[in-house]
Amino acid sequence: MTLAALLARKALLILTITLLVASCSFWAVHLLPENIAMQIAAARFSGTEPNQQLAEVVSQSYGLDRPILVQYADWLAGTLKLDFGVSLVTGRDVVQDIAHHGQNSLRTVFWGFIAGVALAVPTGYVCARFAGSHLDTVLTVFSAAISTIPSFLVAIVMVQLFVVELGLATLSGTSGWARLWVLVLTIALSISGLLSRVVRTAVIDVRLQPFMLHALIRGVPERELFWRHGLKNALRPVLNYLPVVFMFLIYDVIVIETVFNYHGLGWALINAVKALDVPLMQGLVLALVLFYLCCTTLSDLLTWRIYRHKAS
Amino acid sequence: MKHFFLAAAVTGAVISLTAAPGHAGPADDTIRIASPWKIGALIPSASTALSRTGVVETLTMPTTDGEIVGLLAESWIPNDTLTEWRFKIRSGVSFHDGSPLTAETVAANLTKFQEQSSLRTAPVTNIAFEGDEVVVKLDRPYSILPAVLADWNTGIVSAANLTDETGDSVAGTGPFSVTDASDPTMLKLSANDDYWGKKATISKVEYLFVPDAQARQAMAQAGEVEFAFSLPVTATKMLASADSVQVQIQAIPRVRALKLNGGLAPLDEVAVRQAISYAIDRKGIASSIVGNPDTAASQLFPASLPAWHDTSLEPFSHDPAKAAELLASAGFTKGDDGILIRDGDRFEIEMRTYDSRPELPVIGVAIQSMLKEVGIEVTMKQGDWTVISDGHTDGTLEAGIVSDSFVYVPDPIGALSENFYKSGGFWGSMNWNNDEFDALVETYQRTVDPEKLAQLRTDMVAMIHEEHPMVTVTWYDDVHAVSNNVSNFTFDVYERDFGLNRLTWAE
Repeated sequence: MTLAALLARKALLILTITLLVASCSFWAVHLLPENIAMQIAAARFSGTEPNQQLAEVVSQSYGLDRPILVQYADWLAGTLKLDFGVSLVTGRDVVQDIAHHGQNSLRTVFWGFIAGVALAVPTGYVCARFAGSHLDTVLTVFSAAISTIPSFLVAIVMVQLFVVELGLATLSGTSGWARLWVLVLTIALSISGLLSRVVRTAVIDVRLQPFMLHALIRGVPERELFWRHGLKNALRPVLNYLPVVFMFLIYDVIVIETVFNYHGLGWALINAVKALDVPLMQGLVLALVLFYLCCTTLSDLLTWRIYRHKAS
Repeated sequence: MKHFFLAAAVTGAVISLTAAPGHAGPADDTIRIASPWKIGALIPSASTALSRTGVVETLTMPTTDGEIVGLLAESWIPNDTLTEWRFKIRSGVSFHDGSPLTAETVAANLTKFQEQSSLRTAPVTNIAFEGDEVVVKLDRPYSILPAVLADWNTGIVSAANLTDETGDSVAGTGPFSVTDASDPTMLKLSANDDYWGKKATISKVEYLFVPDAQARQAMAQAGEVEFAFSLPVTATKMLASADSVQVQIQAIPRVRALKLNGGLAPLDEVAVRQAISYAIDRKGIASSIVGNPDTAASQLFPASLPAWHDTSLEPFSHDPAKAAELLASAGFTKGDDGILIRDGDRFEIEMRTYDSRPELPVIGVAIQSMLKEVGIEVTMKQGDWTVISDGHTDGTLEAGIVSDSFVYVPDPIGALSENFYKSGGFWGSMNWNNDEFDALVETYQRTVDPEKLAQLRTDMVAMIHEEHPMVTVTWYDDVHAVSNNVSNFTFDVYERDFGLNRLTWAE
């Protein structure tokens, strides 16, 4: 497959999935039995318990009293132009809010991903290299433990330990290492557990390949052999596993950001859902889906670049 | 491998050295507040933050005793029939954008936000200005207009804000002005040096929206914020060992109550509602679910509203025997399964709860089992709070666990007239339709003589106490943490102003 064909296919896939998810989120909200106008009234006029009068004011000003198909058509047209409207709660442009929160999320996800890979690859390699040793057992138990404990629990423990007890990190603000390092570490831990297992298996598999054994028996030094021939083959399953890692990242974005009070996409999404801020919610869901799809596309491109065939 | 571990150790050391958190406090002269209430749009009717942090001000305000005094209005006089009120606007006040406060701006504000603020509950027919006075005309006598104008959602903003639709800035008249609102989750404020009243001594405020209660608690504990509001009750224990913060518990005039459909047999009988009240163990609910036995309600209004709290009333009590007796004399007999029957009808009701206040469904379950003891079968239906409001509107609600404040309008008559008057409101009675009570509310709204008002209050409270149009279960506590670095803080039970301009750093 050529690069152009691959890109075209991916673009079509992204567009279809995005529209599908977006429509699902639209209908999920509008088909709920609850009185949306009333909910929004409560969200927008926070502090008062809402009443019918307020709900009617809201319903008219947001056009919620129009037929639902008209609302859907309107919304779809806007979405295709990347115009998600304004937040029902703050009155700000949704795109502006997504940019604001997306920038924050990217910051932690990027560093968290780098740190996670930096943690998982050496760990997995060491385990594979000394498979069956005590070191392997200890690291295996450790990564199994990390990957079974839900990351919100890890996050809560991290907050209690590093923020409350030791005072080495903070829970306010969105930048600065004092703020970010615990978040990055938590994300890194949550993805490294399983990733290191994948690396371990991949490396063991490659080391047992006949061509590797053959070279070893012929007296080629193992380190040199692995870098020259083993790495590329070991990388393949790891690259294939990346979409799963990205899925974990999305989950982390939502859960960890909430626990750490970090104002990224996931945090904003939880609050938009609570407030039934429909435009913001749909915008954020789209942003997360797009993020995921772009990441997997990147990893596919990488695979294609390395192996030049059967990219998908 | 050695290199890897060495690198990791060095990185760890560097991170922990550079990671010393920026501690809040006197160093940067900033008060930080962790708030569970979202900031929302920068208009007074939508954002409690603007009023609470002292950005916008209202025409009037309540004193701690509940007396209404002037804020942006210097004084006011009604006509003899209380249908026309003239508010004299304070002179020499200017907005944060430099424009002067005029009666014209105030009238434009009240008109624009009339439907979105508490003013919608007042029978207003016209708002206009004459010279330095704002003239409000009503279609019936209405003595509590000054109290309505103390509600936080009637705050006044500059004329430029009224026409500016983008809403990314706001200019009020208060002791603090907004310097940065670009982050939807944070407001940065600085002291207004031209404030007409008591100028703030602390120069900066950061108001942070932190929806997660655990996060607010951790921030207070770590000393990152000076204030954290609406903490879980467990915070008192969790923060007991922290030496930099005090946890304060403040009773606020909000109740959790069992709403009953007074139009539905047999809930339309006073004796039956009284029996339900006797069957509920408020002390048990207050201590095991709410976490503070003192919140068990002894009457509708808590002692923090002295004008409405009548110490001569006999407190609600838990007396299942008395409940059984009342039900027996109402003609009920116990069936084989222990459920009461009268004329072939089993006494079963559906009770709705919602979970945006997480303790409400738990209280519902407790009440379900307490009522079962006296022979009333309760089935539960849970949803979000629209199960209450929709059920009230379409009349299908039988019973529900609800919670509401009485003092958004700083005179509880505002809440009484919205929630108990005529057929009731979402967060109060339903189909109670007590003409005598309605007459008291109407009389109250056209009375100005303090003694007569006090008598009317006593009568209204006594009537609700006796008839239980809604069965009050517990009052409410706000648990908040205050840093030892600040002094002069008092919690405002009306939830409208933190009084940040009075704060000073502790010695």
